Amino acid sequence: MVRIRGLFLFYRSFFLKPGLLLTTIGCCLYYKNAKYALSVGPPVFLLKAIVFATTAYIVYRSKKLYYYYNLQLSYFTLVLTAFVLDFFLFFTCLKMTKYLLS
Amino acid sequence: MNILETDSVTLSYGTRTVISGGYMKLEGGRIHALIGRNGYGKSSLMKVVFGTQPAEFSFTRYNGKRLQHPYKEQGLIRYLPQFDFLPRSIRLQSFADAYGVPWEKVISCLSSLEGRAKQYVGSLSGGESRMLATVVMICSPVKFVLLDEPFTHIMPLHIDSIKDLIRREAEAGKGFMITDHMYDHVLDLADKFYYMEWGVTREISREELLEKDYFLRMK
Repeated sequence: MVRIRGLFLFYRSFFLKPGLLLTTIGCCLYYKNAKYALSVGPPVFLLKAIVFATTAYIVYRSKKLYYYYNLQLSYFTLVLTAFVLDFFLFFTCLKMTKYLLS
Repeated sequence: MNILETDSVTLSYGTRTVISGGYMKLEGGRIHALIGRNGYGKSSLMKVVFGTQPAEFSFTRYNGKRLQHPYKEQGLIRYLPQFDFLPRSIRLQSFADAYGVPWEKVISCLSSLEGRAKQYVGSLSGGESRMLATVVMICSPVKFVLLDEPFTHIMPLHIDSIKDLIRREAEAGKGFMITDHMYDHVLDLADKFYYMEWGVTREISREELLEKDYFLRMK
Protein backbone atom coordinates (compact mmCIF):
# COMPACT_ATOMS: atom_id res chain seq x y z
CA MET A 1 0.00 0.00 0.00
CA VAL A 2 2.84 2.36 0.93
CA ARG A 3 4.58 1.64 -2.36
CA ILE A 4 1.37 2.20 -4.35
CA ARG A 5 0.93 5.54 -2.62
CA GLY A 6 4.57 6.26 -3.48
CA LEU A 7 3.88 5.55 -7.15
CA PHE A 8 0.90 7.93 -7.19
CA LEU A 9 2.88 10.58 -5.31
CA PHE A 10 5.65 10.29 -7.90
CA TYR A 11 3.17 10.72 -10.74
CA ARG A 12 1.51 13.66 -9.02
CA SER A 13 4.83 15.35 -8.21
CA PHE A 14 6.50 15.12 -11.60
CA PHE A 15 4.12 14.13 -14.41
CA LEU A 16 0.63 15.38 -13.61
CA LYS A 17 1.09 19.04 -14.55
CA PRO A 18 2.96 18.52 -17.88
CA GLY A 19 0.63 15.58 -18.57
CA LEU A 20 -2.55 17.66 -18.14
CA LEU A 21 -1.10 20.53 -20.14
CA LEU A 22 -0.14 18.30 -23.07
CA THR A 23 -3.41 16.40 -22.93
CA THR A 24 -5.36 19.68 -23.15
CA ILE A 25 -3.18 20.98 -26.00
CA GLY A 26 -3.36 17.62 -27.80
CA CYS A 27 -7.13 17.40 -27.50
CA CYS A 28 -7.57 21.00 -28.69
CA LEU A 29 -5.35 20.37 -31.71
CA TYR A 30 -7.23 17.20 -32.50
CA TYR A 31 -10.64 18.85 -32.08
CA LYS A 32 -9.78 21.76 -34.36
CA ASN A 33 -8.08 19.77 -37.10
CA ALA A 34 -9.45 16.22 -37.16
CA LYS A 35 -12.52 17.09 -39.22
CA TYR A 36 -10.22 18.37 -42.01
CA ALA A 37 -7.33 15.91 -41.74
CA LEU A 38 -7.43 12.67 -39.74
CA SER A 39 -3.62 12.44 -39.99
CA VAL A 40 -3.32 14.97 -37.13
CA GLY A 41 -3.49 12.03 -34.67
CA PRO A 42 0.12 10.76 -35.00
CA PRO A 43 1.78 14.22 -34.62
CA VAL A 44 -0.29 14.89 -31.49
CA PHE A 45 0.75 11.52 -30.10
CA LEU A 46 4.40 12.21 -31.00
CA LEU A 47 4.28 15.59 -29.23
CA LYS A 48 2.90 13.89 -26.14
CA ALA A 49 5.59 11.18 -26.26
CA ILE A 50 8.41 13.77 -26.63
CA VAL A 51 7.19 15.76 -23.62
CA PHE A 52 6.86 12.59 -21.54
CA ALA A 53 10.40 11.50 -22.46
CA THR A 54 11.80 14.97 -21.64
CA THR A 55 10.05 14.97 -18.25
CA ALA A 56 11.35 11.46 -17.54
CA TYR A 57 14.91 12.63 -18.30
CA ILE A 58 14.57 15.69 -16.02
CA VAL A 59 13.21 13.46 -13.26
CA TYR A 60 16.19 11.09 -13.69
CA ARG A 61 18.48 13.97 -12.62
CA SER A 62 16.28 14.84 -9.62
CA LYS A 63 17.56 14.32 -6.08
CA LYS A 64 14.03 13.71 -4.84
CA LEU A 65 14.21 10.22 -6.37
CA TYR A 66 15.91 8.99 -3.18
CA TYR A 67 12.59 9.28 -1.35
CA TYR A 68 11.20 6.65 -3.72
CA TYR A 69 14.36 4.50 -3.80
CA ASN A 70 14.05 4.17 -0.01
CA LEU A 71 10.56 2.75 -0.58
CA GLN A 72 12.15 -0.01 -2.73
CA LEU A 73 10.86 1.59 -5.93
CA SER A 74 13.23 1.63 -8.91
CA TYR A 75 13.36 4.38 -11.52
CA PHE A 76 12.04 1.95 -14.14
CA THR A 77 8.98 1.03 -12.02
CA LEU A 78 8.28 4.69 -11.28
CA VAL A 79 8.46 5.84 -14.90
CA LEU A 80 6.55 2.82 -16.21
CA THR A 81 3.68 3.52 -13.80
CA ALA A 82 3.74 7.21 -14.71
CA PHE A 83 3.65 6.24 -18.41
CA VAL A 84 0.59 4.01 -17.91
CA LEU A 85 -1.28 6.64 -15.88
CA ASP A 86 -0.32 9.52 -18.17
CA PHE A 87 -1.23 7.79 -21.42
CA PHE A 88 -4.42 6.35 -19.93
CA LEU A 89 -5.47 9.91 -19.09
CA PHE A 90 -4.40 11.11 -22.55
CA PHE A 91 -6.26 8.43 -24.51
CA THR A 92 -9.38 8.79 -22.36
CA CYS A 93 -9.48 12.53 -23.11
CA LEU A 94 -8.76 11.91 -26.78
CA LYS A 95 -11.60 9.38 -26.98
CA MET A 96 -13.96 11.90 -25.40
CA THR A 97 -12.83 14.52 -27.93
CA LYS A 98 -13.53 12.08 -30.78
CA TYR A 99 -16.99 11.48 -29.33
CA LEU A 100 -17.63 15.22 -29.31
CA LEU A 101 -16.59 15.43 -32.96
CA SER A 102 -18.92 12.67 -34.18
CA MET B 1 24.50 -11.58 12.84
CA ASN B 2 23.49 -9.92 9.56
CA ILE B 3 26.32 -9.07 7.18
CA LEU B 4 26.13 -6.86 4.11
CA GLU B 5 29.34 -6.96 2.12
CA THR B 6 30.30 -5.04 -1.00
CA ASP B 7 33.48 -5.97 -2.78
CA SER B 8 35.63 -5.02 -5.80
CA VAL B 9 33.87 -1.73 -6.47
CA THR B 10 35.18 0.06 -9.54
CA LEU B 11 33.61 3.38 -10.46
CA SER B 12 34.63 6.08 -12.92
CA TYR B 13 33.14 9.40 -13.95
CA GLY B 14 34.31 9.87 -17.52
CA THR B 15 38.06 9.31 -17.56
CA ARG B 16 38.44 9.86 -13.82
CA THR B 17 38.46 6.68 -11.74
CA VAL B 18 36.95 7.53 -8.35
CA ILE B 19 36.88 4.09 -6.76
CA SER B 20 39.05 1.12 -7.65
CA GLY B 21 38.97 -1.74 -5.21
CA GLY B 22 36.28 -0.41 -2.91
CA TYR B 23 35.37 -2.76 -0.07
CA MET B 24 32.85 -2.50 2.74
CA LYS B 25 31.61 -5.01 5.25
CA LEU B 26 28.63 -3.89 7.32
CA GLU B 27 27.75 -5.93 10.37
CA GLY B 28 24.44 -5.79 12.21
CA GLY B 29 24.66 -4.13 15.62
CA ARG B 30 27.80 -2.14 14.79
CA ILE B 31 28.43 1.46 13.85
CA HIS B 32 30.85 1.84 10.96
CA ALA B 33 32.53 5.08 9.94
CA LEU B 34 33.75 5.89 6.45
CA ILE B 35 36.46 8.53 6.62
CA GLY B 36 38.12 10.37 3.78
CA ARG B 37 38.68 13.75 2.18
CA ASN B 38 36.19 15.57 -0.05
CA GLY B 39 35.95 14.09 -3.52
CA TYR B 40 37.49 10.76 -2.57
CA GLY B 41 34.27 8.87 -3.38
CA LYS B 42 32.66 8.24 0.02
CA SER B 43 29.15 9.17 -1.07
CA SER B 44 29.59 7.32 -4.35
CA LEU B 45 30.61 4.19 -2.47
CA MET B 46 27.53 4.49 -0.25
CA LYS B 47 25.33 4.79 -3.32
CA VAL B 48 26.98 1.72 -4.82
CA VAL B 49 26.33 -0.21 -1.59
CA PHE B 50 22.72 1.05 -1.63
CA GLY B 51 22.42 -0.06 -5.28
CA THR B 52 21.42 3.16 -7.03
CA GLN B 53 24.83 4.11 -8.42
CA PRO B 54 25.76 1.95 -11.41
CA ALA B 55 29.42 0.95 -11.15
CA GLU B 56 31.70 -0.68 -13.72
CA PHE B 57 31.91 -3.55 -11.31
CA SER B 58 30.62 -4.29 -7.83
CA PHE B 59 29.70 -7.42 -5.95
CA THR B 60 27.25 -7.19 -3.05
CA ARG B 61 26.25 -10.03 -0.75
CA TYR B 62 23.76 -10.14 2.09
CA ASN B 63 24.42 -13.09 4.41
CA GLY B 64 26.14 -14.85 1.50
CA LYS B 65 23.35 -14.22 -1.03
CA ARG B 66 24.27 -12.06 -4.00
CA LEU B 67 22.20 -8.90 -4.48
CA GLN B 68 22.09 -6.81 -7.64
CA HIS B 69 20.19 -3.88 -6.14
CA PRO B 70 20.13 -4.00 -2.31
CA TYR B 71 17.65 -1.10 -2.04
CA LYS B 72 14.95 -3.21 -3.72
CA GLU B 73 15.05 -5.79 -0.92
CA GLN B 74 12.17 -5.41 1.52
CA GLY B 75 13.32 -4.30 4.98
CA LEU B 76 17.05 -4.43 4.24
CA ILE B 77 18.55 -0.98 3.81
CA ARG B 78 17.88 2.75 3.93
CA TYR B 79 20.10 5.57 2.70
CA LEU B 80 20.08 9.15 3.96
CA PRO B 81 21.67 11.26 1.21
CA GLN B 82 23.56 14.43 2.11
CA PHE B 83 21.03 16.60 0.23
CA ASP B 84 17.34 17.34 0.82
CA PHE B 85 15.35 14.54 -0.79
CA LEU B 86 11.89 14.85 0.75
CA PRO B 87 8.98 15.78 -1.54
CA ARG B 88 7.54 19.05 -0.26
CA SER B 89 3.95 17.99 -0.85
CA ILE B 90 3.70 15.20 1.72
CA ARG B 91 2.52 15.53 5.31
CA LEU B 92 5.01 14.91 8.12
CA GLN B 93 3.14 11.95 9.54
CA SER B 94 2.60 10.43 6.08
CA PHE B 95 6.37 10.47 5.55
CA ALA B 96 7.02 8.70 8.86
CA ASP B 97 4.23 6.18 8.19
CA ALA B 98 5.51 5.45 4.68
CA TYR B 99 8.91 4.55 6.15
CA GLY B 100 7.35 2.39 8.87
CA VAL B 101 8.15 4.68 11.81
CA PRO B 102 5.41 5.45 14.36
CA TRP B 103 4.79 9.19 14.67
CA GLU B 104 5.03 8.93 18.48
CA LYS B 105 8.62 7.73 18.11
CA VAL B 106 9.47 10.75 15.95
CA ILE B 107 7.86 13.07 18.50
CA SER B 108 9.86 11.50 21.33
CA CYS B 109 13.06 12.59 19.54
CA LEU B 110 11.74 15.79 18.00
CA SER B 111 9.37 17.43 20.46
CA SER B 112 9.26 20.61 18.33
CA LEU B 113 7.12 18.70 15.81
CA GLU B 114 4.41 17.86 18.33
CA GLY B 115 0.98 18.86 17.01
CA ARG B 116 2.35 19.38 13.50
CA ALA B 117 1.65 15.92 12.08
CA LYS B 118 -0.70 17.25 9.39
CA GLN B 119 1.69 19.95 8.18
CA TYR B 120 3.53 19.57 4.89
CA VAL B 121 7.26 18.96 4.61
CA GLY B 122 7.49 22.19 2.58
CA SER B 123 6.48 24.18 5.68
CA LEU B 124 9.57 23.04 7.65
CA SER B 125 12.85 24.92 7.78
CA GLY B 126 15.95 23.31 6.22
CA GLY B 127 17.28 22.15 9.60
CA GLU B 128 13.92 20.77 10.76
CA SER B 129 13.46 18.90 7.50
CA ARG B 130 16.97 17.43 7.77
CA MET B 131 16.40 16.43 11.38
CA LEU B 132 13.09 14.75 10.54
CA ALA B 133 14.64 12.82 7.64
CA THR B 134 17.58 11.71 9.83
CA VAL B 135 15.38 10.53 12.72
CA VAL B 136 13.00 8.64 10.43
CA MET B 137 15.90 6.94 8.64
CA ILE B 138 17.57 5.88 11.89
CA CYS B 139 14.31 4.50 13.33
CA SER B 140 13.24 2.71 10.12
CA PRO B 141 12.54 -1.00 10.58
CA VAL B 142 15.44 -2.17 8.40
CA LYS B 143 18.67 -4.10 8.96
CA PHE B 144 21.15 -1.45 7.75
CA VAL B 145 21.13 2.33 7.55
CA LEU B 146 23.61 4.41 5.54
CA LEU B 147 23.92 7.98 6.79
CA ASP B 148 25.66 10.50 4.58
CA GLU B 149 26.56 13.55 6.69
CA PRO B 150 23.84 13.11 9.33
CA PHE B 151 25.27 15.83 11.62
CA THR B 152 25.50 18.58 9.03
CA HIS B 153 22.89 21.41 9.28
CA ILE B 154 21.79 20.16 12.71
CA MET B 155 22.15 22.09 15.97
CA PRO B 156 24.46 20.63 18.69
CA LEU B 157 21.64 19.70 21.08
CA HIS B 158 19.98 17.58 18.42
CA ILE B 159 23.32 16.01 17.44
CA ASP B 160 23.54 14.49 20.91
CA SER B 161 20.03 13.06 20.69
CA ILE B 162 20.82 11.64 17.23
CA LYS B 163 23.94 9.97 18.60
CA ASP B 164 21.93 8.44 21.46
CA LEU B 165 19.32 7.25 19.01
CA ILE B 166 21.94 5.61 16.78
CA ARG B 167 23.49 3.86 19.79
CA ARG B 168 20.11 2.55 20.94
CA GLU B 169 19.20 1.25 17.48
CA ALA B 170 22.63 -0.35 17.07
CA GLU B 171 22.18 -2.15 20.40
CA ALA B 172 18.92 -3.52 19.01
CA GLY B 173 20.89 -5.10 16.15
CA LYS B 174 20.81 -2.50 13.39
CA GLY B 175 23.97 -1.86 11.38
CA PHE B 176 25.02 1.72 10.60
CA MET B 177 27.42 3.29 8.16
CA ILE B 178 28.21 6.95 8.80
CA THR B 179 30.28 9.42 6.88
CA ASP B 180 30.62 12.97 8.12
CA HIS B 181 33.30 15.64 8.42
CA MET B 182 32.37 16.36 12.04
CA TYR B 183 35.03 13.89 13.17
CA ASP B 184 34.57 14.42 16.91
CA HIS B 185 31.08 12.96 16.71
CA VAL B 186 32.02 10.21 14.27
CA LEU B 187 34.96 9.05 16.41
CA ASP B 188 32.79 9.18 19.51
CA LEU B 189 30.12 7.02 17.88
CA ALA B 190 31.81 4.48 15.61
CA ASP B 191 33.35 1.17 16.60
CA LYS B 192 34.75 0.21 13.20
CA PHE B 193 36.54 2.49 10.75
CA TYR B 194 37.11 2.47 7.00
CA TYR B 195 39.54 4.90 5.48
CA MET B 196 39.20 5.94 1.85
CA GLU B 197 42.17 7.25 -0.11
CA TRP B 198 43.01 7.29 -3.81
CA GLY B 199 39.89 5.26 -4.58
CA VAL B 200 40.80 2.42 -2.26
CA THR B 201 39.00 1.54 0.98
CA ARG B 202 40.71 -0.21 3.84
CA GLU B 203 39.79 -1.06 7.39
CA ILE B 204 41.81 0.96 9.84
CA SER B 205 42.18 1.04 13.61
CA ARG B 206 41.22 4.08 15.64
CA GLU B 207 44.87 4.69 16.62
CA GLU B 208 46.05 4.46 13.01
CA LEU B 209 43.30 6.85 11.95
CA LEU B 210 44.31 9.46 14.52
CA GLU B 211 47.81 9.51 12.97
CA LYS B 212 46.36 10.93 9.73
CA ASP B 213 47.24 14.59 9.28
CA TYR B 214 43.73 15.98 9.55
CA PHE B 215 43.14 14.16 12.84
CA LEU B 216 46.27 15.45 14.56
CA ARG B 217 44.37 18.16 16.45
CA MET B 218 42.30 15.44 18.13
CA LYS B 219 45.22 13.47 19.56
